[in-house]
Amino acid sequence: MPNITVVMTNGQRRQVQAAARGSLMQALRDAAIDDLLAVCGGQRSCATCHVHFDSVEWELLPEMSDEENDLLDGSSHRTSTSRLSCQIPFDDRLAGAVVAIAPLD
Amino acid sequence: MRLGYRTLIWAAGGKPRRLSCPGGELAGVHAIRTRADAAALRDELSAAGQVAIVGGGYIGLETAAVLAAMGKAVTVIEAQDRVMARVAGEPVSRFYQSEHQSRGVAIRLGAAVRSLDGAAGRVTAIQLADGSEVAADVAIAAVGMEAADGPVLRAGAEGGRGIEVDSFCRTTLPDIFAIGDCVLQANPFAQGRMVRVESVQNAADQAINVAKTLTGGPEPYRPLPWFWSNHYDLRLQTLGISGGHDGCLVRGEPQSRRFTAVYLHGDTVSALDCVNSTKDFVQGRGLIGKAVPRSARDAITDPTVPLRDVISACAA
Repeated sequence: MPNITVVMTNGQRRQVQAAARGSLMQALRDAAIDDLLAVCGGQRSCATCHVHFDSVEWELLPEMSDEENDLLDGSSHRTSTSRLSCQIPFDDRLAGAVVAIAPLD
Repeated sequence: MRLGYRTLIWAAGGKPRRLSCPGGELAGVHAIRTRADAAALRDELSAAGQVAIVGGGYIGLETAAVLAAMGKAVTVIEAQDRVMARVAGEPVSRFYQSEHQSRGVAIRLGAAVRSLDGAAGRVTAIQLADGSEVAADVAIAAVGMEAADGPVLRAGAEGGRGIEVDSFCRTTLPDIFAIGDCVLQANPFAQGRMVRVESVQNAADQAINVAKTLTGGPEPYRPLPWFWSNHYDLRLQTLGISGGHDGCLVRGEPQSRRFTAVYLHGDTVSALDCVNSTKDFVQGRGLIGKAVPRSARDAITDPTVPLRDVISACAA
């Protein structure tokens, strides 16, 4: 499992490694990064697990669904590197990625 | 053990309401609230062909959808004359009823449970007040929850069916806050009525609210309530609180399996139920609390007009 760097909303950086298979959202939650609310638990029903990829092999990430795109549209913090972390598998494609938690809307 | 406190935050949640009729304590009668509840149900499902679910709300119908997809013969027993009666309007209820029926779920409306039959201590059937019987290898009580409010109310806090709190989540006792499913609070999105908002969103936002108060930045609690419920390939996303609505506009054709119910209280939009319509869920936030002039109603019911364009046509 890869190591990634997480930038919290207060600017602090942490290394995170996944303990089990799952999504990036689950790995962040399991690492007790609590500025990520992830209210719906990965049901693609909210946008409270919004992250910015500061560094990643972008073309390796799964394509964005219409629903994810619509949900991100509701955030005033959307950027060209925004994703919902529940839609990103935590696997080797994330090796070395730098992921910033987006501020709450 | 005795723990002292300077500030107490009561976040005890609740327990699923049990069936109080004869037979309600038989083996094979389940409720769903915790992961352990779900695991206990799963362990009995392989031997179960027929499942009866008492209660046609979110939990009862979500469970029905999962079990129907597993090939179980599912009957939903609902006391009201439509499913989701407490949480949705008539058009949404009728839509979900027909979706579940088309997947083989039997739905009994206006049905009161009289008793549960058992053999060797295990449930075998549910007897209804009209004299009919629903066979059940497993029965599931999906009839709401009871707030875990006992100790706080016994200590003298105001409440009943929940602990009363003010807009800063303060109980009527000094230094005791309460948050989450166990709380009754006057809600600006429910015309100021005292309601329990039983959702993850509400529990998380009330926790944030108390944290702000304790760290010196108190603000009255008023986040917009939202919720979701998935059945089959149907994604329901809700905004606001629809209870108490006196009008409902339907945006899109329910038969298309993509539509939004816009609830009105007087001329004001009080809630949205968005079915497979994430764009409406995202753009509709700005519509809650807005008065809708008659002239804007055609635009609301026209799904080709984005809700953000409707909002600009409405007064604040």
